[in-house]
Amino acid sequence: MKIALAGNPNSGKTTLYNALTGELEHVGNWSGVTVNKKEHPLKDSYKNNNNEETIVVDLPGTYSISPYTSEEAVTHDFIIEENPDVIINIVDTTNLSRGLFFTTQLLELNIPVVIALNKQDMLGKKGINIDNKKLSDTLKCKVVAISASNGTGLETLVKQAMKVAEKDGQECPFIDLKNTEVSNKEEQADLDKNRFKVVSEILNDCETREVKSEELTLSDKIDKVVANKVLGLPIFFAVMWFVYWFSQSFLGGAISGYLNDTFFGEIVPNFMNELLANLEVNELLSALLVDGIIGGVGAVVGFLPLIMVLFFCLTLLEDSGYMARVAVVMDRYLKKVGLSGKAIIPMVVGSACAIPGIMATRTIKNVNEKRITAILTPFVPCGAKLPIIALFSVIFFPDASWVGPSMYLLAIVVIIVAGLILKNIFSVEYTQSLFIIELPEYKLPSLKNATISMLEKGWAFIVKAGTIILVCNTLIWLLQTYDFGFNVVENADTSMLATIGAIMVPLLIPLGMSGWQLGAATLTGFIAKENVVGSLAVMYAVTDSMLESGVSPLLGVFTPATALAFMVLNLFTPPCFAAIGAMNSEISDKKWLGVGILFQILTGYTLAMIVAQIGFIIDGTVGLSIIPAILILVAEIFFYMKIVRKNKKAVAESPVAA
Amino acid sequence: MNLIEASKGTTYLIKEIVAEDNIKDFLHTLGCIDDEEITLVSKISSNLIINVKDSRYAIDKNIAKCIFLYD
Repeated sequence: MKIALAGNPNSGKTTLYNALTGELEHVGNWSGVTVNKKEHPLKDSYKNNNNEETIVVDLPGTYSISPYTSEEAVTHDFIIEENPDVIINIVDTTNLSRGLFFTTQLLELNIPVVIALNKQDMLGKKGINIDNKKLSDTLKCKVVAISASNGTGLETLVKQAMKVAEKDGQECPFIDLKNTEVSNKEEQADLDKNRFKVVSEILNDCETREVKSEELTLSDKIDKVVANKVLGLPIFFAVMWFVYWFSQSFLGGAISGYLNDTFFGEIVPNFMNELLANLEVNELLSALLVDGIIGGVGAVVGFLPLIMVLFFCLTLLEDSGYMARVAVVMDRYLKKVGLSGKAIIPMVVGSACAIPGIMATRTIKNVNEKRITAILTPFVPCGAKLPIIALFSVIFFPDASWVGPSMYLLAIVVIIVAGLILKNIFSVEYTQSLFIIELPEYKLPSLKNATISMLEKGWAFIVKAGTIILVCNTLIWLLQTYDFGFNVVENADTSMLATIGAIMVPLLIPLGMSGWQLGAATLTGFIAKENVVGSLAVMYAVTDSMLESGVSPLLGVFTPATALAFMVLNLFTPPCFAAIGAMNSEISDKKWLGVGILFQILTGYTLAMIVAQIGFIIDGTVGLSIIPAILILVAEIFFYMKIVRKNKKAVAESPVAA
Repeated sequence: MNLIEASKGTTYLIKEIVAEDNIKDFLHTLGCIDDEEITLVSKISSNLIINVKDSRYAIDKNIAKCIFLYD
């Protein structure tokens, strides 16, 4: 049996889905969190002696499924194709007048429907009374009062859904609406109007409100401060600063420091060395285990607390309803770059991980805006980049607290400038970006949700460390231990890895860096950014504590200027293969994707080059590397101008412009 | 008059929406249709906060200009 969950955005479908299936899908208090269909078997505890497998399908939220506009037709066809045995229509009880509009459309599909009136816990607070019995009689389907977040009413809901699923189709109480033929826009608008009229009539009978919804609520009062023209931006920066301070310096930083210095730095390697010595394990194998695997993976896992605490804070933020307000605040500024305020949501989400960030661009309606946002989102330093920032700031700038925050500031500047450049490269015509976003009511964020999300992310990270990162580090170790004849090398400089890494070395010259290790580390970073730190640890054959310590071998490789440049290189080049995959599916155009990735590579490279050369100028150590650096910069500007000129010409020649 | 000229805290009836189809369709599905009630709740950060069908939305001036009201 198949149960589909359908309803308006932010009506609580995914919360219900998680409760019914035991899954841990991402939820948030803003419209459009779920962008992909998800499905999973119903939890056993909800099955009443029924051994038939029941699949629950979570659909992205929508306001309407009239088959006459292309976008909604997709959702419409989707439900038809899924062919569920029963639809659970989740309706936000505090917003029946809009939710029931969608219900009237669902009732026409001839698939049994059960209505779940969600957010019952809010009714008392808002002084709303609903006659569920009358509503059920009018709509000719079962109505169950639930609270997905508190878990009340769910058993009844599942029982009713299973009972109704036996039925053959769904009686439609609104025959007139169903039989209206629509052949053009005008008729469609009339039908929508009639639909809303029917809903209003139902509500007159079934709903009473003590407080009118247009009266100022607490949320409105908070918005006056939080989304204020003057205060909005400083408040947003303060909130984000607090999140990063809390996760990177305060709580997350403290635990990470202990893990890196003591646990993976001393306890584990000492224990392993002793154990392996006692077991008389082959020296080479022992080196692989201690330096390659524990050193590399440990170096990455040590930073796990940073990432977990960051996820915890960002989940709280998303759950509170603040995200929609940030979009309102930022709309003014992002419009100047040709984007709308909604573009900020993928970026804030992307500060935890670029993949969900890129996926969140789907709520942006304008396709060019969406694609540009998808290319810009990975510039925000994500959780996987934190180890790089943390490592380099500890070694090279131990007394400077500005390094971490400055990377985020740089990201903002890069996004603005890159946004403008991309607009010109893709010759996106300047249409006034239109902005409309639902403002959900604020709510106290759920600590339980945040904890679950944090633990889940932590676990996913450990799995990643145990798979991709482990494999990469082992590979790095093997490649640097053997030469192409598979002989153990005396010196890693003659190893396979040195040969491969050397391909990248000429590219590093304008950045004022040398060493095949850096080329190799950057390459592994494209697979997953956490690899950069792990690879450096393996190649310089030290465990992380030494990598991080005052006698770090990295001090011999970098000057502060090149360290900063190396950091910038890894932060602003494409994040990882998984994120590129997400870009591919959201951008869905090969040319855009190709240009986007090339643009990201060039941005990271050019920024690193500029940082290094400015550093040399400040230090008074300008070398010959400045010559290729200037040549590259000039070439880039030249090609950019050429593209812009070509685009302008194309626009001028196009018949539309004439 | 259009929504920009409306006064705060007042409920109006929508006369018509004059906009491109995609905006118009979207506003329709939210319940912004002719003869429907709309309240201008407040103005913040160059955006208008409106209440339609028991929900709050922030819209920018370009969209507000498209929504015409009965005086």
